[in-house]
Amino acid sequence: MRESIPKIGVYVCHCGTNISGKVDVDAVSQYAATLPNVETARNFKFMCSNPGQQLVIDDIKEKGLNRVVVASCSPRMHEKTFRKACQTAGINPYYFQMACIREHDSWVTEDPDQATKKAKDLVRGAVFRVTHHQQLTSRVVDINPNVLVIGGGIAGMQAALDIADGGKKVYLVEREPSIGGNMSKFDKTFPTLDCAACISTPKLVAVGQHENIELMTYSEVIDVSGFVGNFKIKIKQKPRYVDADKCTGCGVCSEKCPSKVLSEFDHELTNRKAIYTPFPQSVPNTRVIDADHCIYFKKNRCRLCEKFCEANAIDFEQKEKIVEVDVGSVIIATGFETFDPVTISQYGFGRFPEVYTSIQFERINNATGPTSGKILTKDGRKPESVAIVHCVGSRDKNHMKYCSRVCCMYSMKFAHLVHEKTGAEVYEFYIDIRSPGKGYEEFYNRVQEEGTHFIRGKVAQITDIVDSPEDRGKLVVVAEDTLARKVRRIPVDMVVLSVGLKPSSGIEDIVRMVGISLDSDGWINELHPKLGPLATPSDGIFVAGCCQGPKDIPDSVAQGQGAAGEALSLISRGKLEIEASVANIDPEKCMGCRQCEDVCFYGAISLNPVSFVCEVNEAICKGCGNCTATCPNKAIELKHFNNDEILAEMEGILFNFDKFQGDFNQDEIKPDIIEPV
Amino acid sequence: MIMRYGFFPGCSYKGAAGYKESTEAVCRELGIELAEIKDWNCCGATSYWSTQDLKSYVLPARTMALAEKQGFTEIANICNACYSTLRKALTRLDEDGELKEKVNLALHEEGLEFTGNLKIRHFMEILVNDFDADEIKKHVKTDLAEFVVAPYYGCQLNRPWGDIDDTINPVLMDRLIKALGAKPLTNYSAKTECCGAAHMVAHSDSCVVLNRRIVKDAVEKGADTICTLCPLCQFNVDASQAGNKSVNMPVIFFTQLMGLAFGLGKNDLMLNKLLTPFKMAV
Repeated sequence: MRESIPKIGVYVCHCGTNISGKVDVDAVSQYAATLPNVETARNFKFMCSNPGQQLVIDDIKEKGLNRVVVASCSPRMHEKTFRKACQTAGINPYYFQMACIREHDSWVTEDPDQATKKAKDLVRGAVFRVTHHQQLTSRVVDINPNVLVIGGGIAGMQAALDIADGGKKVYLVEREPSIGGNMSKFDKTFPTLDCAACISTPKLVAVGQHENIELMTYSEVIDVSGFVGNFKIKIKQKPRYVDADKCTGCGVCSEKCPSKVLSEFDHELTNRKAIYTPFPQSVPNTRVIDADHCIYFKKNRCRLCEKFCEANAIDFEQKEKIVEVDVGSVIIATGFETFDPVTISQYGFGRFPEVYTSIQFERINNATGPTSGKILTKDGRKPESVAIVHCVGSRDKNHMKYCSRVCCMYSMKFAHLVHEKTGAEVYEFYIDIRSPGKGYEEFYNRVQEEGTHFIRGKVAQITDIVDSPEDRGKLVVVAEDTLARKVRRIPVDMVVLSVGLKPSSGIEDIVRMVGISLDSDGWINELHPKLGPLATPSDGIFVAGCCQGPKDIPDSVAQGQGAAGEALSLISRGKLEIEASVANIDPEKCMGCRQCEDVCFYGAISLNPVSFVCEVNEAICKGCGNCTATCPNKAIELKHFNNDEILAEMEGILFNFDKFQGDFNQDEIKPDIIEPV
Repeated sequence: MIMRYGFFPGCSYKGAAGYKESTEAVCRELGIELAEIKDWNCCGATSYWSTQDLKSYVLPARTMALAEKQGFTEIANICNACYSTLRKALTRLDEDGELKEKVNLALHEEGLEFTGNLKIRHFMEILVNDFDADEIKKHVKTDLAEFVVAPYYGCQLNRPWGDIDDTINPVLMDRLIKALGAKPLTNYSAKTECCGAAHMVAHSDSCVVLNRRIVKDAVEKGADTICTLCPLCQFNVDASQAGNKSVNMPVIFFTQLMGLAFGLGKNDLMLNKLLTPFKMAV
């Protein structure tokens, strides 16, 4: 359906000086007024402001406009704002078109004349296009109030607890046998030095006991389909080989198990058994059998755990299970893993026993760690001197170019702990100290006052070559002290490599499933770096914690709570309007070749076996246009992006107005200057 | 089957203490033909790069162009400096078409053309990667089980590329030493510390200090000998011990070690040419 005579209003935004600093906005609006079907053309300081929107509304009502073009920022910023304004004034919201003259023009064009010319081109394209727009109606869908949280670290646990406390059902999926994440490995937390276990264990217990949280540990999300408000999730539950309903967590099986495996939780500083829980406070406390290292699974004998289990909980026959759940929104909180410093071979990690990663040093300091919290070398000595090397893997173009944000602070926490526990000399080798946070700078001062030696210089080498008698039996840390302008060679007993944070493995699979993207460093791209930090371009998919970028515990908790708020806000809306721009298949033209089905990421297309034509499930279609471009019979039309609209826009942009002599408002412009390809 | 490689001996091959003799003997034993590139010239070594730009590329390019003309696809080197000079020239000429054109203009005078279609390799790497360790083991006649060998790689073998091995802690030669039945000193931290190369001539005081670290680390960790794969490394590390009576660490070539394991004779190994006398502890 189309209004018989289009009457277009064009509004050019200054965006402060963001646009008007480069683009001559007066010239653009004056030019726009000469274009065909344009009834009125204006420019305004901030079109997105209330008076700006009111301008559009008033013009529609007073001048009888039936099409609106706003030339301002990207449609990602404000398309919704102006569509709503159109709707308020009583015209179909899809009778609106946006010309992006900020991101695509004023921000990226140096020459003001060129920028103005380009703005005119873009406005002309939008004006030509909007005359072809059709009335479309958005669909309204119900929102399923259940929420899926992926990842049971501190961010995921916090999000799950807040949603569950709000009375909604949460499925919390964690791939490890226990929730708790990286935080449960830590000893003290900076800068307040409160014990990580003391503050996180109660959360683990609360998650485990909450009636609204369905905890799925040792499980992985393998498929996400559907759309905001109505996601279908497939979860793979790996076999624990232990019946969770029967296991009492007594631990006799682990005592009796003869198989020894390097502990992942202690980062290979200790051994665990093949039947185990990662740590004593694990939630759930149900053991799990690691089939790769279990003697029964490898050699078909042993079964000692089964023999000694009084609860009869061991079940070697358990199989992998696929569970399907329906949710309305998803919170991704997959966290981080630490950088493996083996590739920086000059630091000797793996070669010298006394070189540790920071996460190993957390375990050493932790009361449940390999030395029960005592700082001791592998041969049991109390160190007299300890070096802490900052920025291992971070701020390094060979590895990760970004700053991992938490390393300076945890390194200084280590300095404090080493002083307190051993009285040893501590040398911090740093590039810059970064301590932005409440009480962080004060903590830096405190550690300096405790007598920590701060040496500004990137460590070149860690070696056991003996150059002078005091080097004997030590590791020598070599660095150029860039403040004193000399090379330091400092013999120490222990070296801690403050390794950076990188995204958890498997994050690629998760983002592919939900249809979002990663940035160049591998972290999840949020919707907007400032104003949409927890949302993603995929509606109903939220992020929290380190999966979006390195952050410390307070920030992760804040994001967990924020994401919970986003999910709860979505749920309380109850119903949701969905974009009307979806694909439509003409059954007369479709020959049932199913090529469209193959290219649809969202699983929105299926073949109707009776009529043998493909059909689009409009509730699932995201309007990406893949099928439209693929269809060999041109049977598919993407609403709001049909051929008429796109060709008219191209025609408008490419139109050579320098050579055009006539009057736009006469019928001289042929609608088919460009033949459809 | 005889394995055949184009061979660039470099200027120090003949003069080095028994390198030529032992390499030839090992090749005879294993059935390897190192076919010398006819009319090769000096690679220019490291010092030429910093003073002459174009000419420093023409020198290695000429040798490589000769190899191409003579039908070789791979050049075996026995010197770290030759190896890295040829590889550097190859990489740079591959990236810089303009430079390659200029170099070829010079080479055309002789009717030569450098295309860059060949591979630069070190003979030690060839032995480890092209030959099965079990094949080498078959030739071992002397039991070296108690013989601890410190593998000294020098700094130029694998830097900056880091493709054939780790740049700081390489292990290629350790594998060869193991195949020969000897014990590689696996915790030898000085294995890639610099020997000073040609600076030994102009700045011998500073370079002797560097070389003494290389020797000392081997002594402290209980090595019987240091094993090298470059004439200049061997000479520097060996000569640095002159006048220091407290240490006595022989520095041999990897081909001499192979000769020892294969039970080859005195004339094949020329161990008498070493400055620090070599006595088998076993």
